[in-house]
Parts: sequence; C-alpha cells; structure tokens
Amino acid sequence: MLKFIFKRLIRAFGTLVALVLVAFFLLEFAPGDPLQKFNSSSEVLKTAKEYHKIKDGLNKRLGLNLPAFYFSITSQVIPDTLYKISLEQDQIALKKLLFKYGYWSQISKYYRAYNKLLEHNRNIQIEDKTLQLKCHEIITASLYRQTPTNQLYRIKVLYGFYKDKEGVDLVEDLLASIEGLEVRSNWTKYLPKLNFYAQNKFHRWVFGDDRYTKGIIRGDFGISYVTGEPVEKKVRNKLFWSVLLSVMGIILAYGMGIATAIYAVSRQNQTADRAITAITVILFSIPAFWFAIISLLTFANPDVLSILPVSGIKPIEGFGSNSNLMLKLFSTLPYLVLPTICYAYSTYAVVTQTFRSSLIEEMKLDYIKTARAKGLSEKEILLQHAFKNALLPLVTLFTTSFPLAIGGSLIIETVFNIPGMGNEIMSAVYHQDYPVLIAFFVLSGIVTLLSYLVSDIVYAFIDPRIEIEELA
Amino acid sequence: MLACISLIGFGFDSFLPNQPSLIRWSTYDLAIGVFIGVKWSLFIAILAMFIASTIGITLGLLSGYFQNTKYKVSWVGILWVALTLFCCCFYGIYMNTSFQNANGVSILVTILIVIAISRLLWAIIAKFIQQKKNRAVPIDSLISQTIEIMNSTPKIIIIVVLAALVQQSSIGVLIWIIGLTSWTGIARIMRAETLKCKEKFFIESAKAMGIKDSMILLKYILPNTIKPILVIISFGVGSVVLIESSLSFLGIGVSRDTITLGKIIAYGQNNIDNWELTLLPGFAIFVIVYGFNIIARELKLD
Repeated sequence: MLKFIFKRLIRAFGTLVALVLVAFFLLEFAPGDPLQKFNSSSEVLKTAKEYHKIKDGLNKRLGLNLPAFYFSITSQVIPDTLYKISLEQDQIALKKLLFKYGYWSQISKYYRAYNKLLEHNRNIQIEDKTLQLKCHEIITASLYRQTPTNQLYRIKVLYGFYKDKEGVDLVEDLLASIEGLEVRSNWTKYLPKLNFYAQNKFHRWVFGDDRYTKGIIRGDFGISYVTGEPVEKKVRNKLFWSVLLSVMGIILAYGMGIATAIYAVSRQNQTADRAITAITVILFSIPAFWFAIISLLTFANPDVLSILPVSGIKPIEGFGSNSNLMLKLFSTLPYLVLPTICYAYSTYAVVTQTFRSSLIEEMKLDYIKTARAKGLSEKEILLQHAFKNALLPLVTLFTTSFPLAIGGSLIIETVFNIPGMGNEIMSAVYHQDYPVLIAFFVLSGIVTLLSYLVSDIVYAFIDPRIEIEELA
Repeated sequence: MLACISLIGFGFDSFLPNQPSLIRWSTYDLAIGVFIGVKWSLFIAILAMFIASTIGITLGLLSGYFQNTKYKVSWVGILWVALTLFCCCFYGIYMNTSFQNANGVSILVTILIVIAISRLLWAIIAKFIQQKKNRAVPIDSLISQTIEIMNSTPKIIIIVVLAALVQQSSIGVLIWIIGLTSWTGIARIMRAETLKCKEKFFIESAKAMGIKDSMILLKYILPNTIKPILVIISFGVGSVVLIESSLSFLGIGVSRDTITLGKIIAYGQNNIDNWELTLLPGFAIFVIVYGFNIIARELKLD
C-alpha cells in the first residue's frame, strides 16, 4: 500500500510541476505589457524622474527586467542581455531591427540616442502638453514603425521644437545614429544560441526573492493588475461563499441522488424507475444559467411569485444592529436557496444515474443470490448488502465534483451576483487581470489534483484490486 | 431534425441584420435569432468535437496499441526527430514571430519546408547508418501523463483562461480552444477499447500475416472500437453546446456581431418583461443537448 501511495504521490507531483510551468508560460505570453498597464495614459506627461521611479519600482515588484526562464534559445545576433529592457514593445521592435540590420553595436547606439531624446522630451517644462505628446509620438514612431530610416524627415521637425542646445544636440545624435544604420548581411542570425540564467522570472515567481515577493510556494501570487492589491488577499475574501455554496450543493445532490437511486432500483423497470431515468436525462441537458434565470423569473419575480430574493447574499439594508449570529444566518438563508438548487441539480442527475446503474450491476452478482437464498427481504439486500459495494463509483464521482463546482460557480455566481470565486474570475476576465486568472488556474488545479489523489488512495483502500493492477 | 434546423439557420442568415444589441426584439427577430443561434451552436459543437475526436482517437489508438514497449526506434531516429522538432520550433515559430510580422501561413510554410528537408536528409542518412531499433518509446505513459495534466484543471477554467489570453474573439478561435481541451475523455475510452480489441484472435492472425501496424490500426481495430467512441462523441457534442452557450452567456469567446443563444439569454436576463427572450433560446439549447444525449443513450443500449 505504501508503495502505491508513494508512486501516486510522485506522479501527482510531476503533474503539479507541469501545471505550474503551463500557468507560468500562460502568464508570460499573456498579451499586453504590465508596465504599460500600470501607468497607461498619463505616462508621457510624467517627468523622467517620476517615470523612472515608477518603472524601477515595478521592475523590482514584478521582476520585469529578468529573463523568463532558466535558459533561452535565441538567434546568435541577439545580445544575451536584451531582457534588461523591461518594455516588451521596445524588445520586439529592437529584435526586428536586429534582424534587419544584423549587428547589435549600431542598434544599441541608436537605442541609446533614442532613449536620451525621449528622456529630454519628458523633462521639458512647457505649457502646451499636446505638443510635447506629439513630439513623443514622433520619437517613438522611429522605433515602432518598421524602419527608422523612413522617419528621418519627421524627426527633423523636432529641430523646430527644441530651442535649447541640449535638445538640438540630442536630435542630431539620433539622426546621426539612424543614418549610421546600414544593412550588413550577417548569416549568424540564422543560428541558434543557448543562454543560461540563474536569476529569472520563473524562479522568482515560484520561490520568491528576498524582499518583494514570497513566491507561489508560500502562497504569494503577485499583485492584481487592476487594483494593485495582493492576489491571495482577493482570493481569501472570495473563497468562503464559493465553498459554502458548493458544499451545500454537493450535500443536497448526493443525499437526494442516493435516495432517488435506491427508490428507482427498488422499483426496477416499473413506471417510477423509467420516469426517474427520463427526468435525470432531462435535468442533465438543461443549461445551468438558463435554469438559474428561469428560477429567478418564477420565484423572485414580483409579477409571478415573489417568495425569494433576487440576488446577492444579504439584505440590501444590511443586518439589524442588534442581530445575533442565528438571526444573520436565517436572513441569509433565503438568498442561498436558489443558488444551491442550481448548483445541485445537474450533479444530482449524474449521481442518480451512476448510483442506479452501479446498484443494478451489483444486484446481478452472486452474493446477492446467496442473500436471497438465505431468505433476506429485498429491502435488506438492497440497503445492507448492495448499497455499500455500489458506493465505489460514487467515490470517484464525489472527488471530481469539487473541481466541477469551481466551474459551475462561474455561471451561478454571475447570475445570482454572489461575491465568490466565480464572480472574481469573470471580473478578472473582463479587466484582463492575468495574475488573478492564473492564480485561480493554479489553485483550481491544485484542488483537482488533491481530490484525484485522495480518490485514488481511498479507492485503493476500499478495493485492493486496484492497487495490484496499478503496480503490475 | 437537427440538420434541418441548421440548414434553415444557414438560410435565414441573410435576413437578420447582425446588430449586437437590438433595442426591441420582435417575435420575428427572436425566431430568426434562435435559428441562427442554433446553427452556430451546432456548427461550433460539431467542428470542435471533430477536432477533439480526431486527436482523441489517434492518441487513444496509439497508446492502447503500442503501450509502453511495443514501439521501437533507433537512437539515431530519436535524435533526428528531436532535431527536426527543434528546427520547426526555431525557424518556424521563433524566427518568424520575433523578427517580422508573421502570419500563420508563413509559419506553416516554413515548418513544411523544414520537415521536407529533414525527410530528404533522413532518406540519405538511413542508407549509410545501420540502425538497431532497440529503444522503446513509452507512448502510453507520455499520453496518459498529458491527459492527467489536461484533467488537472476544470475544463471550463482552462477554456475561460485561454479565451481571455487569446483576446481575439471569433468562432474559429473558440472552436479550436474547445476542441483542443476536450479530447481527453475520448482518448481514454479509445485506449481502453483498443486494449480490449487487441487481444482478439483476428488481430493476432492479421499480425501473423505480416500486415503493417498502421494498417491493423486503421482497418481492424478502428472499425471494431468505433461504437463506444460514438457514444462518447455524442455526449460530448451535447456538453460542448452547453459550454459554448454558457461562455457566450458570460460574454466570452464569440465576437460581438455573432448572435448566439447564450447572448440572447444574457440580453433577456436584463429585460424581465420580455421573458420569451430567455425562455425560447434556452429551450432551444435544451432540445439540442437532450437530442444528443438521447442519441448517445440509444447508441449505448444497442
């Protein structure tokens, strides 16, 4: 048994590592630059000092000026310190220039002149901010448009704008560096190069660094792109309602499902049994969000029946000042009735069907015949003999229902406006808040993995045949 | 019946102006909207399931037939395949995307060229180097590990995260995302069926006759295992319809000017007075899913 558990644990660990890797690369390749997300529109109008302060702060907090992974394979022409440029857009533009012109030395000269002029433009004290913005656009266009050489005439316009000597000098530098760019063929750009990095984003993301992040291994998922607060704080606040709802839903579904299945099997092939089978297929096919809205339209509609509240988790006016815990519980209960039913009904259908078929299979076996021959009543056979053994498939189903509940919460929490995890995921999707999304991705993965692990081990305890098969 | 509905949906397509938010839905608009929604639902579900079942059946067949020990290659072969894969990634994807504004076609063309060159060179190399095929490729372990990784996150979460990351909302993207995430069940069933079928006598006699492995897989095993797969595909189409409609209800996945059933319901949710906006499309989803589930049950009982 120990050997089996050990093997299973190693496999689960491997899967976990793969999951974390996938999550990291999803986060890494997520569109949009975090640096630009934090200082979006007013970025240009900040002075160079402010801009650098923000940039350095973010670099330290998010580790943007680190390479992505322990190693990277790049083209030979790309310098192995390109990652230090933390603006993603600049990196992409520079790579394209490198491929075109072939050598880093001339490009770096150009990029230095470009950055100096940009900084100078930020530092200029001037009333007319639109003009400054226009200049910013002209300068950046030289990098972001495909060829800086095409932008020469536009950059020459800048002579008229900068009255001071330093500015004119910088414009001249930039022009000279652009004119210095010439296409030199470099065949080494077609060859791959392998770089190794000890300090990198992945290492930092998983294990943390000394000051700014603790790493996901200690539960730190970084900061939200939208609000700037730590992700784990967000998750912790939202977890309660989701867990409460899914636990209630699962208890309801399994209680009802097992009872219904036993009832159906005790009247096998009669009308009641067929009706139950038909109803479970129907329940299984109903879309959850439609069911939720229809139940809202019937039970929380002033025109039809208004016995249950529409949405949320507590009265809008809040609890009374002198209400104790019980009173709070009772006033929250009506809000949870419809969501719980919506959570439960499809699981209920699956549980009923699974348990029914598993009971029927069990009733065909020899030991049931023996029990019948002993003269036990059908009720005793069903409840005392078959019931226990037929529970086996439900163990697997039970552990998969927690991950399913996470998925189900997406829809139901949106419809009923419950402040839980599903609602948070949806708002993260709308705001493109990738750290939050990835945190939920990893967390739900861990929950799922754990539940599979527990199910396999419990299964092996109950049914030792499994272990032998697995080890063979 | 479903085919009829989808055909009618394609026909009606030209009548309805594709507006994302019709201020007031007449009954006529709603009827056509539902038809178009049904058409898109079926379109997405069937294509996504086609992708998923292609992947699932192939991988399931391979992992069931070869298991961990039966597929043997030589060291040189492994190295050559690894080199080809690396070249595909490096020249096809990395060089194309990081140095110029690449499109899918140029990536594909480069990859095809690399593969062609590699095949040519391999044809020459194989003549000179003596190969001993003594390295077993653990296909089964690899595939089952991949399935475990895929299953380690709830499917809907993977789909939502991927859809949010891709950012491009179009039906094609949605089909690919759903297709690439829902093959695991099919692969598992296919593997189990192949394992069962492999033991039968006619397979052994086919092997004794010296028929190639690929022929045995396609001509003998696939036709004999297809029935349980059809059941699971049929269930799968139903669940994809559910997933697609919930995604479009949440506003993820399909672009703005496509009318889907989930979107009409989301619109109806905010207009309680027009209750038929919620009722009809939901009922349409229910009918589709129920239909596929019934088909699956009938197939199972046969």
